[in-house]
Amino acid sequence: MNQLLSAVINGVATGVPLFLVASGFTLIYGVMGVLNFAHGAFFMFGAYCFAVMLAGQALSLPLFLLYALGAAAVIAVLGVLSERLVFARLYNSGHMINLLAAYALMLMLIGLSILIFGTTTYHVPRPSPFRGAVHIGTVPVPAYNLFVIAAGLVVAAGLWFLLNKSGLGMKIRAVAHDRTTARALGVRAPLVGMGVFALGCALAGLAGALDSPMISVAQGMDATFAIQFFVVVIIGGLGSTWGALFASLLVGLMESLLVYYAPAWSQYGMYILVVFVLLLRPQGLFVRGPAITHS
Amino acid sequence: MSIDSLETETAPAPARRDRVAWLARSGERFDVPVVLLLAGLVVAFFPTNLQFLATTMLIYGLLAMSANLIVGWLGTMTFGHAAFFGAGIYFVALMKDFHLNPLLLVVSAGLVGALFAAFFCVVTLRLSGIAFVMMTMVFGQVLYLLLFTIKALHGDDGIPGVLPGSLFGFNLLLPKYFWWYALAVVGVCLFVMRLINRSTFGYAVLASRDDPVRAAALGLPTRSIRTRVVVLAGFFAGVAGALFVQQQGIASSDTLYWLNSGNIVLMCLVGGRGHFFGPMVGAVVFVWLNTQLFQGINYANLFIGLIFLVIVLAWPDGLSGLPGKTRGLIRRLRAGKGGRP
Repeated sequence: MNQLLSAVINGVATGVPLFLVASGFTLIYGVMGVLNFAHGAFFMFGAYCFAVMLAGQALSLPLFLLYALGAAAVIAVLGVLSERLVFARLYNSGHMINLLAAYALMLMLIGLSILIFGTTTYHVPRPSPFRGAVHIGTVPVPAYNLFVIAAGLVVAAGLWFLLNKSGLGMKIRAVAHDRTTARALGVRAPLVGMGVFALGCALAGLAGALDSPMISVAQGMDATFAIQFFVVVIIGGLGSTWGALFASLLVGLMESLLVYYAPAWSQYGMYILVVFVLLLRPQGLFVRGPAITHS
Repeated sequence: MSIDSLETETAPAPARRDRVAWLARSGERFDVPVVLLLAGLVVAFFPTNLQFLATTMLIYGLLAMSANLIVGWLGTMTFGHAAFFGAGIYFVALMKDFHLNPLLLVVSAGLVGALFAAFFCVVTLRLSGIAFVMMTMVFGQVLYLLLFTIKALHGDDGIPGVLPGSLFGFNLLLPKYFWWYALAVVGVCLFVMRLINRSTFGYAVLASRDDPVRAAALGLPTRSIRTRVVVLAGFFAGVAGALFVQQQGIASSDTLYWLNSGNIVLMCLVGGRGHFFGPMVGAVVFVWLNTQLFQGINYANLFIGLIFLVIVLAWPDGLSGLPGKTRGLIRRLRAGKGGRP
């Protein structure tokens, strides 16, 4: 029972960064039709920026949050730049061309990160109030994991409010639904596109910052993470933010439960899951109607 | 893929033009053997280290051409092609202690690649478009992870000491013999690809790429066409893998890494996926860039990505689209001179 509780909490905490990255990724896909291969690299950049800003010192909570938001802002700027320089030129040229451009961008970002940050491994300390463990009943749980879960809840609520209740969200949904009609009705679609790119990349950067104390920041982390959020996005359904939320929690929980109860399977559980989902519901769990047939 | 222009000329043409047309036709029919034989003769006079490099380029060329079955013929993408390549590599590496005939190994590695491709197709049967592409990448990464889980595959250490053996009394360890051997295998593969490309099946593939809805309405089984093409691509990638490990002598895990899959697509794109030999050209350029120009620069991806991006943005037909583009430019310049101010 104790084991189960800590497995669940750790699983949800692993799921939160996945959700942040996957929701940004799926938002960009839904609105712009760009399958942003480079999202994993943005995540890595976020983690690197955060690690460099912190420079190994343990901060108090407000400063920690401030720095994390700073890292997210840097990545947002990077995202807007790449949208302006690359993807804005590729509207109407099809998903495949966009995909290739995103892949090229990812290669550049990987090279750039080696050039800027080198190949050393960075370790990011947890913020000072969350260094130890919290006891729930008799079960010790890393306090930082609870903090990450809380942060994930805040972001999910903020995202829900932004997309469903705000004017900007209405515009974003309009552009995602029908770009041409939205423009005809006076929505400035290019601006919305830039905003979405900024938001999606900021989420990736924030995820990198929040995840960095739980992992070691090094080259190659983007690839490992990219595969995971690809799986999340496929399971949840491309373009569905709530699918991303559900699927990232599912993947995180499953991985952590497998680590506790069947360690040999922990790496493959995710893939077995995705195979079953694809065979039963190829369009993903949270997308209605037939499989996506864009090409 | 260049769809052959159907002969529409019905009026009797002058004898000279007839001969030219005949030459062009037979040139197209024999382009694979002619091009490869020329390349073979030229490289035969190279020094040994360049012969080795040329062989690597040739093998990557076959790999890129096999990926082009998916990228060019099907018009979709694959970011997991290294999986099939790696299947061939590790199959041959695991068979190293049996000292089998190298050609037998090549063919069976191809079958192993095809088997993996068939499995992949079963899983992704109902997917299309972007989701299919994402699954290619997931599939490639699963196989990569398997290298570290299965003890016999030795993870990062790889499997060293794979010898090519000898064929008809020629020791394939010598680069000059290996070059002719690889050329023959690649030549047969390209010839078969060309035959398929020109067959009714090849036209069915093109039809379902260019207009899937209409092709399906005409009764073409688009899903089964995709499956068959992917299995073929897996076969040729497996063959390329077998040649690669026979040449390099070691099966290493980074051949299966997802960036390698991306590089294969990059080769198709640099060379031009619309042209039959395009991926081969792309492979030559790419291997040259990677092994000669960017040798020892650990952030080489920055430049490779930049080149890739420029091609995607400005030059989507790749290098083999260049002659057509220049011709168009000249024609436009000429028209501009005579026409409007």
